[in-house]
Amino acid sequence: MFSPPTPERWRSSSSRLIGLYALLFIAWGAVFTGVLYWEISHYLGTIAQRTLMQRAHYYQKVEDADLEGELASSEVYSIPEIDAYGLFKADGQHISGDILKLRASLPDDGRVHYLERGLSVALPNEQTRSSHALLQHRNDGRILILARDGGSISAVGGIIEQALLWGLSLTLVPGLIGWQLLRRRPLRRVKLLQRCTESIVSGNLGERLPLSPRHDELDMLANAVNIMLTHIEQLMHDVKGVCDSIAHDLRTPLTRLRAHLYQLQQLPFEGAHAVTVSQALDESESIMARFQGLLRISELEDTRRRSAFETFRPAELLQQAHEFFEPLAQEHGQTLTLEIPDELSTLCGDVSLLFEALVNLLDNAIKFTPTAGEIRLRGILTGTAVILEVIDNGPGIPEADQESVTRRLFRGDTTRQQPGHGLGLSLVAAIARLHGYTLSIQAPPNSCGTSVSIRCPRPEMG
Amino acid sequence: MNCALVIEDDEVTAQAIMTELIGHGFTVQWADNGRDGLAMAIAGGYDAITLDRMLPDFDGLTIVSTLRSLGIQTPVLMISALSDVDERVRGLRSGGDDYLTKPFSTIEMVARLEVLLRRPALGASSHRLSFGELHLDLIEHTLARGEEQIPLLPTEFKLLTYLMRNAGQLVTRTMLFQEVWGYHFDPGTNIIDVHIGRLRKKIEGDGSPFIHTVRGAGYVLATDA
Repeated sequence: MFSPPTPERWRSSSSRLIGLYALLFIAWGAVFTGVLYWEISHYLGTIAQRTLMQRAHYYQKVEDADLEGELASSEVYSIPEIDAYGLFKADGQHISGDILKLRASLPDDGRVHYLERGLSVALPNEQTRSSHALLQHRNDGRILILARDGGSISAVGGIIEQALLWGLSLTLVPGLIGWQLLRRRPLRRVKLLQRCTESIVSGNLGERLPLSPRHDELDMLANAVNIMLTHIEQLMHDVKGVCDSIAHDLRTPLTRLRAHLYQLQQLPFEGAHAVTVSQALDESESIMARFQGLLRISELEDTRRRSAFETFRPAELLQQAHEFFEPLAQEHGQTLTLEIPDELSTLCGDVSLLFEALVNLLDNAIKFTPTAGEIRLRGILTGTAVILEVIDNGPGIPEADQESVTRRLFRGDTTRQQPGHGLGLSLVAAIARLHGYTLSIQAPPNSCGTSVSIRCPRPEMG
Repeated sequence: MNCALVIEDDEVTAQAIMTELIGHGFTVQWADNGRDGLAMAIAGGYDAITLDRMLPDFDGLTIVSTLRSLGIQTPVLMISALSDVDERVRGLRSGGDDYLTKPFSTIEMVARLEVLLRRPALGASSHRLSFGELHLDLIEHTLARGEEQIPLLPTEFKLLTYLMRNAGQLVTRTMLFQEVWGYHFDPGTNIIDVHIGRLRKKIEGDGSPFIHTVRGAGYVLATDA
């Protein structure tokens, strides 16, 4: 029975969509923030440069003697912790201003430079984060440094970063909740569809996939499958109709043929004629055996046969089959052993059909195992199932044929010389299918021969 | 002489059935539709009836259930193209005594009919069955040949019981399989022969055979061939 594994949470298509959406959102958010940050810092940088240039230009015109006073008075208008200056003697000794140390590396080219490493300032943090700075050599040899804190740009970056984090978390939390809700509903429906499909596969061809009133994509798909099922059901019905009429139309002529041949056999023929009639009668028997076999398989594929299901003890069935075949095996010089555990739980099924299946398996085993061979009839109890198994140490079924042996009328190259119609295993397969049991054919581990097993799930295990 | 009524709409099948029955010493009458068949069966005078399941006018099931409701207990062998097990159950429930699926061998048909004919006589059977020097105790489940006790396995006991109940009568392999093992399909091998072989060895010893093989048909329990 097919049952694809339940997808992991993240594997559902809505999860993938939401995941993809989240990725796109994060990428978009990052690009947006990046551009915003770059634009703002660029803008703030330009302003800082212009302001510094303006101040430098103003102090250029101030007399050296008035410079100190001018600087102190203009301090009033500057923004504390943002704007700063430092006046130094030619030897680098600090004269006034918040900037305490002369940065010698700052070139005197009348232009504003961006310093990654902050300048030493008096207060409050001793060192700024980064700054725009300009160095001016006065005519009297003193050096003036004007600076504007670049930290404000970083602060803007920080604000944007925080905004982004808040935005993301506010989007992700409801997103995750939505994902849970969105994921569950389609999954519930898919599980329902899966259950329906399993039921259809097990033979209830009349069943249809359920449709919801929403008319969404799943409904479109289910509807398409339903239309297909109707067609398949119609076709199968037609095929069955044709088969049934062929069967019905052939039964009477076959009965007649046999009757005619039998009448002929009663006539006083001699020699070759008698042999020919006898051969014709044998052939007609063989046709009828195949015909009955084919009809029986078709009949089994009709699920109505479930009406004969009852609870039974597989141990008793195995014992009966063993007792039935033991004399035949003995006649062939083979040993047929029965291995059943003390306790083999009950099963639900059609005892007559299962006995027929065992008869076919044991008959095959005895037919294809050489003299002095060993055949084992086993009942195995596992956690969820009872396994009925026939193992022989005959020549085995070639691996290439293992799939085909359950096909109707299939006869392997090695078995063509043996009597039979090639219907036994397909009958067993049909019986297993009817019960929902699994038939498997393989070589027994570590030895030659064939192991055919029917895995019967225990009813109480669901 | 036993008189049989054949209710069968197909002429060739009916002829084959009748030829075989006449060959076994029956007198035969034929009805080719359900209406006539029912009328003739009610009129009575037959020891056994072969009844086709699907007929024009009246269905085989209707005929047999009508006969039974009228208290007519003539043994009825139902013959049908419907081999479904449910169909068999339906046929037997509505009053048929045995059920045979087309295509069938006429030998099998006659064998079954003859077994049906013997059934009323066996109704009041005692606890013991005897055949020649074989004595079967149905309660003790023992077999004695003359003074000698012969141990039998349960299956062998069932086989011999059925053969002894129908001594002198042909029983086919499918009939044995149905009676002894209780299944209604064709086991398709010579396995019944093997079981009979085992039984033979036990009961016949060195003496003359009791169980005779009828080639292509089945077995007869008889003192001579």
